[in-house]
Amino acid sequence: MVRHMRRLVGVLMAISIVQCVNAADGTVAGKPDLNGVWQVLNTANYDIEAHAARAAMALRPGPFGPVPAKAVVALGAVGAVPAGLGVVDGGEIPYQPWALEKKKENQANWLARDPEIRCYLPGVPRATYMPFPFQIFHSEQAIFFAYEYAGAVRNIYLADPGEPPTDTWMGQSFGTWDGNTLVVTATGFNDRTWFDRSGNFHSDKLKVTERYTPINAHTMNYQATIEDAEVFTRPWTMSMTLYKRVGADARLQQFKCIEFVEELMYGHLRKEPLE
Amino acid sequence: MNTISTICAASMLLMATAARADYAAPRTAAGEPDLQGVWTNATITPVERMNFFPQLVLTKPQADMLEQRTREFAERGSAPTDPDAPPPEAGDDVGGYNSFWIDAGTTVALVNGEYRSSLITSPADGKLPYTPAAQAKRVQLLMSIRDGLDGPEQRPLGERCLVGFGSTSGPPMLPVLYNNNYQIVQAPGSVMILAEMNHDARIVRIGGEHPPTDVRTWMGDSIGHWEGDTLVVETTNFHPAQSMRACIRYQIYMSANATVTERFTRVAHDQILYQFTVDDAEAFSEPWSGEIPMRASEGPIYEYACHEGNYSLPGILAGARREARTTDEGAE
Amino acid sequence: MKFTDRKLPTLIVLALGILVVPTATFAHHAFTAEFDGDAPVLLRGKVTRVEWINPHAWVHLDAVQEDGTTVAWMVEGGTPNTLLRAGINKNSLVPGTEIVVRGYQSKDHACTPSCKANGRDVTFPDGRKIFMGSSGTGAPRDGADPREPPRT
Repeated sequence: MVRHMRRLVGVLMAISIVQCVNAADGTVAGKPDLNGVWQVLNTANYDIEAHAARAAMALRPGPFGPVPAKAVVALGAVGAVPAGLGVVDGGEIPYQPWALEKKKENQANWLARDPEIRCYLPGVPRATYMPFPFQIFHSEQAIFFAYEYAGAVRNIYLADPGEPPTDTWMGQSFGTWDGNTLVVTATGFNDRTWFDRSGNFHSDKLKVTERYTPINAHTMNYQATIEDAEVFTRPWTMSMTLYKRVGADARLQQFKCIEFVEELMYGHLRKEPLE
Repeated sequence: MNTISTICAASMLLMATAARADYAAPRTAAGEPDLQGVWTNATITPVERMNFFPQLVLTKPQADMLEQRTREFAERGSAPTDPDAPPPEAGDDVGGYNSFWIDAGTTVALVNGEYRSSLITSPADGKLPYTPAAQAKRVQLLMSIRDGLDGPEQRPLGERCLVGFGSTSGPPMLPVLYNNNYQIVQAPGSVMILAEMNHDARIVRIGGEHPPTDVRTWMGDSIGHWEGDTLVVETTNFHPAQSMRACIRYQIYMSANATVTERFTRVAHDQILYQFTVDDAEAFSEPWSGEIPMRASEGPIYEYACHEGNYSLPGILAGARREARTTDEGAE
Repeated sequence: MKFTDRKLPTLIVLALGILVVPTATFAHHAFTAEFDGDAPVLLRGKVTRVEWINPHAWVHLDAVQEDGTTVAWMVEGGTPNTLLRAGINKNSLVPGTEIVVRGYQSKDHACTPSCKANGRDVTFPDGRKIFMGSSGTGAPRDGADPREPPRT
């Protein structure tokens, strides 16, 4: 009897493997299939606001206008900033006056303050538009994001996880579906991540509502609405397109950058510091 | 519900019911064994065999005794301190921190109904079969952890936050003092295995080839395939710096040219049997294998952002510089 | 981890993995490399804030000196994840709470912005530990052990 059942199971398994995969084509549990390796094609990580190309992220006054700061001058064109139309809806981030001053101060002290320079976890939504791909693992049971930059990860809870127990770099994410849009509400952040290399920042009251909406098989619209009453005068939104990598490019590589910043962070503590 | 999904649902239900003799793993919609969830491999069973229990299988009273001993240690750790106790003594072991931070498991590993005295099942003596040269290399690497304070590169990977300490992220994934939690998510063509410490997502490709041997990555390069109810993962191309897998419970050396084969089999709704073999002729006289139950974890995975709050590494290097200055001043 | 002869017996026991010891000597980092065995401390004072961060949580306190003045210290604990898993959160140890710390000062003896020590034993003034040990592994409780505390 057991043997017969096993044989029947084998046949049914073969059927279900073929049929269920076909049935699942393009969808997961009736929702758009978000599986894949995704990446933006914009310069939002330099500056989420509209900006012209310029010589360097860190500048200092020169005899006829700004020139690259001493610490980055050797990089030449490699250290220059590509232009961007900006990703902030309406064009401007609605900072409170004190916060706008702090943003400018952050920008002036970029080398010392940008968490990316120290390979710190990128936070949300910056993780999305780092110049690195990220992979979405989407099954009937789970949605999980793995980012190439710094090996950051996010599990998207599909049941309400309740209050975040503590503040973290990548926050706590709760996903729901609005039609074909995956809506992720992320809270429980610390105040140490930035939105870009230009000093745009938030407090630990940050709440990010992300909307991932497939446009076609290879592109997705991404929106992130930022709420943080300590820093901004009203909620505001970023919008951009995510592109799906195909073929051999559709594979995440490792960028565990901690070891790349050890000289920067700990070089002065060497037994014999380098000249 | 359309016809196809009805057939799917019915056949999966039947598969789940039919194979009851020895539990049928649930299947994903793609028909793969479903290993997804959050799992823990915490156990008080050590990696290597204990000398006082030479057999792999413990009796129930022996297992009970070990678990009782563990509870007693936990109770002792939780007992109040004499409020008037003096500061610790100078020259004593500096120790670590209270036991309430530790989460190393409370139970003996139970595999196929057997209480295990070691996670290693082969060789038969449950010991790591190092070659003499590899044993010497191991000791040398351990000494370098103690003495290597000239710069960050000499410190162990866990201390630098490059990967979790011990062999928590593996492979093979072996339990450590805490954060023994893993999440598995399956997607078309890949299986993601997250080790809580240090938020290390190992992405196992289903099928394909390993890169050339000069391409070395953290946790190696993992390729999987399905064998019945089992996910089989072969990992090569280890990063040479990950050869020393040291933690309080074990200090394992394996060469960067090792091949690790892991087998994940769902044996109950709340358990995966994790089996592994390390094949490494550079370090071992024969392959060694082990078995660890991965039990369903009640809670979620929490963020383990290590580098961002790593006061320890600069503190250790600064401590070594200060000690050298003090010694110099003393000598003058 | 220092492999001194004196500590070898302990290490052998620890390597067996059977004993969960209150004084872990080699977790995320080597404690003996970070803390000065010749600089024991006994600190009493009020918690000023808690950094619930990995790899180690840090409890900050204003330690009261003999002359009544205070000095800022930060005391190293373990991974907060163990406590989060046991139901403890960022509000579980509030500023102003009186604690007592027995440990050793950091080897760098740096006191900016705070002096650092390991929290070998951190208690309330009456001797109770500031948190209770977790017997849990995150695994489901099957009720087989009547001594299992209910999960909070």
